[in-house]
Amino acid sequence: MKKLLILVLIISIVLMIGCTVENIVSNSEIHKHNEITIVTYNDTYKKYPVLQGYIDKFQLETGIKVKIDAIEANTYDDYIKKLNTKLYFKKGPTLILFSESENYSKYIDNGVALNVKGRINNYKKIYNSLKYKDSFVPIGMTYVATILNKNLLEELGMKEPNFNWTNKEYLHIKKKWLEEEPRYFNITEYKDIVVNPLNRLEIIDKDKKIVTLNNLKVKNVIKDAQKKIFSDNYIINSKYSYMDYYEMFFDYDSDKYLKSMRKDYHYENRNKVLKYRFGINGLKTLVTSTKMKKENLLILPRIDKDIGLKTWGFIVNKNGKNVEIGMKFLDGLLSDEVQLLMFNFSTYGGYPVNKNIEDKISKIERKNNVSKKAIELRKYILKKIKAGIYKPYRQIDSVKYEFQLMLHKDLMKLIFTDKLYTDEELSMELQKLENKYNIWLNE
Amino acid sequence: MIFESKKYKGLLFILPSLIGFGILYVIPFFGGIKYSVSKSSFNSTFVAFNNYTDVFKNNAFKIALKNTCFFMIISIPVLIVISFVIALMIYELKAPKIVKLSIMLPIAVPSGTVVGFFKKVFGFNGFNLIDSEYAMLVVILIFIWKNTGYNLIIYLAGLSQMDKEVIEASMIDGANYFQRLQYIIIPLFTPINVFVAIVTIINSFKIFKDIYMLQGSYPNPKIYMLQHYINNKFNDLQYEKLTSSAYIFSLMIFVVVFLLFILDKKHAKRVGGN
Repeated sequence: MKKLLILVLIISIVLMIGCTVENIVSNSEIHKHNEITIVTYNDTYKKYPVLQGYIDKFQLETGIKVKIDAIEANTYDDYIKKLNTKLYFKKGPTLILFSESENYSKYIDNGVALNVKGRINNYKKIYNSLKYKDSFVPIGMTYVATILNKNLLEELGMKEPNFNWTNKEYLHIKKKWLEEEPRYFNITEYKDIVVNPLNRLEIIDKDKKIVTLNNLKVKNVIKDAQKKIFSDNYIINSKYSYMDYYEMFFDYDSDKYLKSMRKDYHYENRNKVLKYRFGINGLKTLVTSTKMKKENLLILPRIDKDIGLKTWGFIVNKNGKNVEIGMKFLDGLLSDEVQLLMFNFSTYGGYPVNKNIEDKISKIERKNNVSKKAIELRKYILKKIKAGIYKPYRQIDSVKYEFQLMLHKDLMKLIFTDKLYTDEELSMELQKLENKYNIWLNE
Repeated sequence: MIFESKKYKGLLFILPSLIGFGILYVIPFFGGIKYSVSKSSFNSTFVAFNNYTDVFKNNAFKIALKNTCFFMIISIPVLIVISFVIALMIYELKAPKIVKLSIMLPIAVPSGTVVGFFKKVFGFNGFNLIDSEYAMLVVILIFIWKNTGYNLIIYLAGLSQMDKEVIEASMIDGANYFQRLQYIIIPLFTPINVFVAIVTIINSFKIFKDIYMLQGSYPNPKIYMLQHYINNKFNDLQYEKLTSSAYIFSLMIFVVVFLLFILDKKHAKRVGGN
């Protein structure tokens, strides 16, 4: 009898706790009617001062709480896993923030995002090239322009290239520069020698789902790269193995990476073809104009056209709570007033995506005495965007760019090998990689 | 009083575990069926068995299934035999505790350390097997090294519980050691072997963690397992493919476990147990 009583008591307690929890949950549901949640990777949202300022304003004006759910993760893969779990819930996060370095197409293609066409008033003001299936809402954009050292060009006696410059012209300048004296080998050089030539080869056929890597063209790029890297043109650490180079280029927490960055920074002020490894947003004329004047720089559009343009913005989660409020929030972010504010921020946050404020931007430029060259560059980039030539390809074509990243990481072993591979060995190694990528592509 | 009955008392004891198992495993297992017959996780249009046929047609799934089956067919019997033989040797030779400890220690070593060690030995700067055609050999070695100790505990417990009278009777009848092993010890161990086999099958799924740490989401195709496929489908938000492939695999495991139970039942009938 005693045991029966204890059992009844335990069951009652469990039920009571269960009901209380349910009550708390339903009470918080009431509060959640006045709340939207934005999911971000760690504290990415802090990169955007406009967003932070607008959240405060929105909360004050509407009384609606904007909750930031910054998913803490050690790696981006971990973040994706955590995010995917959240998307699985019925009343999940309202909006998902994507920074310039993130890919959003996968979420849209898999049906996570809500189609916002006709549901956000200011959406029609966005440049068409920045839209993706009417489900991504871009807020700001960055066009990473190339910065050339004008002083150096003068020293080398070279003609300044114009906006339509080609890869051939760039390589010609580089060749002249390398002839002067040996230079430190870094990620920029690696990109010029290995990454860009490989990206130009048609290795992946997405439609047929085939990767062809084991061929003469790829082998030639590898052999040519080895010849160039280990020539007298570069200063390299002879003790470095391929793992050291791997860390130097891809492991951003490693000592080798930091050391290379430091060396690059100190070397920055010396004669370099490319000033600033990470480029500059060519659309932000208030910044480019100052740089051009003060540092005697030549800022040009990128030669590798498909990776220059990047956007940051949101997708509205189909299973999210209070999606209508979420869209109202985005409408405000796309308003002329907020977008114009973004142009004025000289640091992070990008350039406005709202095409209706171009005249107002021109006015600000005149007021601030922005250089003619900087304005020309901005207009040139915008013209290409309007014509659909520049698009945020990297963010909407995940297959191609994920593949390229994998390939460049894997090929390091073959390029920075201690012993040179014979043709047969190289074929075997490339075949192994080809098999691996074909699994990935056919998954 | 019902609680006086032994049967109900037992049920009461396992109730918390059953509730946990029900909530965390059984309900999600059946709940997942809905996803496997839906167009996608975000579109619940009924598509019958389309996802299953898609998964079967998928080359990556075929490779994953082939590798997983190959790994299980080789590593599970090898591990069972090795751990049984070691248990017998320890039991018969009355090996010192340090031997037992050294075999059991790998259970307690974190996966990261194990993978780090194997990477060093079999990686690029070692025997260079991880990127080769023989990568599966490394995976099997890791599995055996990590799990021998676990099975050993079960076998040693079984050996210490063995009816010594039967052994002594056979010795009086003149049976040598191998005859005793063949006709008495191994048949007596059938229920334990079934249990060890099931536990080993469950543990074999955990090898994914090691391979993942060794080579990431897309390893050498020779060690690309079903869990890779499933894990990558989760990252790609394709729950419908994920659940379909998981059910196909579960069905295969159910068949194997069912056969093991039949074997156990037959054995029980033969020796007159329940």
